[in-house]
Amino acid sequence: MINLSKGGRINLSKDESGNSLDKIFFGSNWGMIVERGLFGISKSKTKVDLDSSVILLGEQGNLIETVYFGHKDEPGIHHYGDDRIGDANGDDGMDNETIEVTLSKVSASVHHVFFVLNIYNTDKVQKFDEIPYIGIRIYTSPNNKPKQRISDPVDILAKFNLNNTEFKDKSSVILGEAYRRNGEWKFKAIGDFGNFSGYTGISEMESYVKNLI
Amino acid sequence: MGKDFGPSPFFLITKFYKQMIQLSKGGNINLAKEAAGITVFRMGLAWDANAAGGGDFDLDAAAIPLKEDGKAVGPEAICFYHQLDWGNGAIKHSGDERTGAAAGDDETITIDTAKLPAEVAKVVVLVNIHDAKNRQQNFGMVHNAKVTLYKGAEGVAESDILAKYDLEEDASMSRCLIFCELYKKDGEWKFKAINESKGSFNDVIYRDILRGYGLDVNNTPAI
Repeated sequence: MINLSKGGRINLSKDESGNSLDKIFFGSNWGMIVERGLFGISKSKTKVDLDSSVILLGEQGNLIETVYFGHKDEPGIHHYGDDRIGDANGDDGMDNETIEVTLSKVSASVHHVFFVLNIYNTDKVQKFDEIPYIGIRIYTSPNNKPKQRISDPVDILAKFNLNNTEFKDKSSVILGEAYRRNGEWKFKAIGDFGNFSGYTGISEMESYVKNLI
Repeated sequence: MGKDFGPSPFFLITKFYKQMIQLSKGGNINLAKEAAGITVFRMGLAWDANAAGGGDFDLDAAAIPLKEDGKAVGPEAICFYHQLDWGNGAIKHSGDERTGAAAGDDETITIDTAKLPAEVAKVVVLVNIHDAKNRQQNFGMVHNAKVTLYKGAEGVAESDILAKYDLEEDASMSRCLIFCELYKKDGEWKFKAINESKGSFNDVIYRDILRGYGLDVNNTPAI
């Protein structure tokens, strides 16, 4: 697949009107796997556990901390909670997980903030293309409040729709990176798909993202 | 500078005109005739883009090898800033020049017709304004866009130039233009001056233009 992203283009310190963009939100929305039987009556539902995480690296690529379902708070970063099921009755138009990053409050030692998502391994769900829909947004919000509802107006920094055969056989994705440059925060979309699944996948991604800085 | 220009000024003029052809929109030259025995052709793409209100322009050249039906020969068959060499040297890109401030050619596409797969009927060379909608930029703000067709991969002397093409500024709302193409007719390669808009800067995104050629382009970002 061709990647058009050049990265490093979005300056988060100021928007076009000169307003400071202090918060970045990372929202993900997905559905359970529903198998339908005769007459469209649902036969079985399979829970889908996706995990959004944020990996924090220092200037030299040293790992500082990772915010994930088991460690929800770091200075300037908050994980709103783990969703281990997915939308049960079709897309409810709401994000299932949200992570909030307040750039001005992130520790001074943190220079790279990587936004990642992967599948928590279960026996039943292994790859993105088995899941009916996955929508991921990294956005800034007009009033700096998280927008769980997908239809709320936000400024998208990066958007990914993974319910697509392009992402079959993949179970993890490094979506983007916010990073410090000359005292300002910038954002670049990445879209690096892989197979770092489960809890161990998160620690594998901690090592992997060092190669991306 | 020690160069032998021939016996008389008249000879110089005839020689000059014989070697360098000024093309206008739609014009073409037969490379088999004008550059017999040569397979490597270089298109130097140049533009001046200095926004009045500041703000950088970032123009990107790309070359796409197409089959007879107008679709790319493969889902990743494009030579551009992330794939500077396509087809093991068949098409090469000089690399991304991000401001349009360089002197001479801003970006070059080099094609070796001998290395192109037989199914390639045409190679289109297009230039896109990166992030055009977000930056509110279009080709009406780009001046002196031109293509210089050279023979060989390196030379920049007058004698290396086969043709020149100045794009008229008639595509002002466009975010992406086909500058020129190389195409095969009856087994002979030809060069054609084009200047065709691929869509408005406000309505069209680059990935959809590329998908129109059958290329497999990822979903982010919407530039």
